[in-house]
Amino acid sequence: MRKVKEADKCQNCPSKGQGVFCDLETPELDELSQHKVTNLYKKGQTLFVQGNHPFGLYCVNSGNIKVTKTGPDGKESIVRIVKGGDVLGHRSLFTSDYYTATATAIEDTKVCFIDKKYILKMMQDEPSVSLHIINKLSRDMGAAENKVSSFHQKNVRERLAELLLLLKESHGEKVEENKYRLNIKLTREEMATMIGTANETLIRFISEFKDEGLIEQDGKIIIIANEERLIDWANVTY
Amino acid sequence: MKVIKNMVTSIEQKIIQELTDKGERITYTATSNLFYEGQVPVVAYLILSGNVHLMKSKKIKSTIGPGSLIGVKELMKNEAVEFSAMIMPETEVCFLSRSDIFEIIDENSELSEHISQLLTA
Repeated sequence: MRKVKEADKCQNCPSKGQGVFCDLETPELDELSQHKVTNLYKKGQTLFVQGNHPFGLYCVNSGNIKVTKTGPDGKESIVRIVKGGDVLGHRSLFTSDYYTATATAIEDTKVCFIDKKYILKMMQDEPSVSLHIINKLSRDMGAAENKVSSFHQKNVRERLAELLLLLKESHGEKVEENKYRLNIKLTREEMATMIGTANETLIRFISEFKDEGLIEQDGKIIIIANEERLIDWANVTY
Repeated sequence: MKVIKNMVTSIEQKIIQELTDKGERITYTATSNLFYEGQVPVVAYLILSGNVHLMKSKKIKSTIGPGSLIGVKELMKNEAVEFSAMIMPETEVCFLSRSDIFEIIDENSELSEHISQLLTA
């Protein structure tokens, strides 16, 4: 039996209960801990690159990863942000297609890797894992549909408000009554690619949001100061 | 360098053939990092053609070519590698996952003996 550090075991994962393996019992988690590979990716290091062959499933222990697509003109756009408890590479796992996006750590991130053969066997043996992955794929599809409709039907101001609300859901921490700190450091360029606009336009709207008291800033960190008005501005209909 | 010798194993032609039957062959079209120094490789790589640079602190320390097997010992023993590996465009590799290596070991063949020797070396 190979040595697995206590901190790297699935039972001690800080994201336990949020991932696709959260319904497994201790013996199965032990077996999984023995089989997986746990690595720390420094900011800027890539887990996989668009066009590469998929080897298996990545499960994020802690930290944040950006998933980007590079267009024919070399422009990079962020498709989604992945945080602790999320999985990566699950779509390419079933289609056997090459990766259609690149995954890069946006801060020091701990990630576990499980090879394709083992995860496919696990999905056959443990229906809860399959169900969680189906759930994940369905949510991803819903998010993709929302994004497409936002790009078609909303203006940049609405898209920025919507992005801030989504980041509040995924990375928000309540600091005061009605105030949420977004625990993720994104550059203005990264935020601009997430809503499909130019840097200058995003900066202009961020200033407008600050002037209107919707958001505040603490260094690079954004604080949502008025969620209700942000919902109005986002023109959320659901 | 001794550390590189420990990490990379030269494989005979007969064993290469047997290993490629077990793993999957892929050709990288662009430069890409296989793994970074200080990490455990997620799969082991057998280079079939082309080159892979082994790097430390962003400096190339060695270049390995066809017939070299990298990362088996580290993958199976959960040990960190001391070098980053950067694959060059048009390099063909056969990758072996932990499951593939376990299957080979369980077969009790000449190949499994070879892999077991490699792990105990």
